[in-house]
Amino acid sequence: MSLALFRDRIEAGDVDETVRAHLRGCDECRAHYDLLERTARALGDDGSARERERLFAALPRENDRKLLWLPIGAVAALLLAIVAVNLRPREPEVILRGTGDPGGEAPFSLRVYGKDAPGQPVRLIADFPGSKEASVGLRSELQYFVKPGTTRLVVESRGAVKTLAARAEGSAVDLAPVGKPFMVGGFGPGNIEVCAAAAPPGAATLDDAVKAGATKYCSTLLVSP
Amino acid sequence: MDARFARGGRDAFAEVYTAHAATVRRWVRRFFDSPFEQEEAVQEVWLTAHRSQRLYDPAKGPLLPWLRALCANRCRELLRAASRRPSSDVPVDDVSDALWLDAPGPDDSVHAAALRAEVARFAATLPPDEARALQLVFVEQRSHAEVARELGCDERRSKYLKQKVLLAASRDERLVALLKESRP
Repeated sequence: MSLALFRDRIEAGDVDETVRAHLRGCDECRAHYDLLERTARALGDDGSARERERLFAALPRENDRKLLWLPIGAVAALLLAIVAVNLRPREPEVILRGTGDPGGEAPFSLRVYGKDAPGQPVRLIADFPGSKEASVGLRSELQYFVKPGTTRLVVESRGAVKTLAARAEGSAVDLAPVGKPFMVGGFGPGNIEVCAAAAPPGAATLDDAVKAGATKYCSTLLVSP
Repeated sequence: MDARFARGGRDAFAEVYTAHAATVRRWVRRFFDSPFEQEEAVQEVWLTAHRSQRLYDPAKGPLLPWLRALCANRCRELLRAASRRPSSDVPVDDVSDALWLDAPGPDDSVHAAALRAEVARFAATLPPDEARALQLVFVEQRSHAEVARELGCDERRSKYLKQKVLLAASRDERLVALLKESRP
């Protein structure tokens, strides 16, 4: 399944950081990529041009004068903010819904099911947001489910190279899927932050849900290589 | 060049990269079999070198041994991060690294000659435009714009020919069998 998704891009040489992130976690695609790369080397292309292009694109930019002004601007903005806060008359404390640390228990359970690697049995990996963290491997394939299934839910999974948004529209089942299965390797190196909120009608994204007053619950998938 | 590198800056880094890119690539290939892993490791080595640029002290020795130690250490870290042990021929100490990394593999020249012969046989089986594309794109490393001018076609056709030749070569049984015999 994975190879079918990425074969065209690998064969066309369209291998950007998204494809590379997938290759890190998918043996099948990596084997195909490796065969083409070995063949290209045998034909005379040692990959040096692509290597140079990729490396220099990844280097931090220097001589960018705008960057020099960033710390100065940030300090000035901070000073202005401090002055403004101190000059403002005191108001009764207001609790903003959906933006603070959620104190109570979440009205839903976001179950994370998955396989540790292709071909492995499916198991329950985490029950968010009750468990704040769960460990998964880079080759894991996961899918979210919400309980109760009647919950309208938005979930955002944020990794180093990708953010995945998924929704559940609410259905008359005990446990309903939220979005489609996904590969952990596709998010790049590092952990994945998983935030979810019960979505009021009309809220298409997590931000929309929070703006509409929903409470956001965040947990972390700790990714090991 | 070493002193300029130590003072930092992108230009000095680029100069060192241009001078030593092929050497670093060869070192990394001793640690990793998979071309993908080699590419990832090469990128990591050079990004680490860039971050550590100002830590290099020319008074303590030339740049190349510093770069070799950095490369070997980073490759070992990557292998450890992937919960893998280096293959049995990887030396365990820095002194042996110099001898091991810079020594040619015993079958390198024999294998390269066999590979050249096999590629020539494969090229002879191709239609003229694909054989010419192979020469221009892979051997001469021309850009698609240059290939398109040379072949009298557009860049899209040049990209198509490159992909077609590469896929045909990757399905050539004799060539693939030879590629699997040893590390390219």
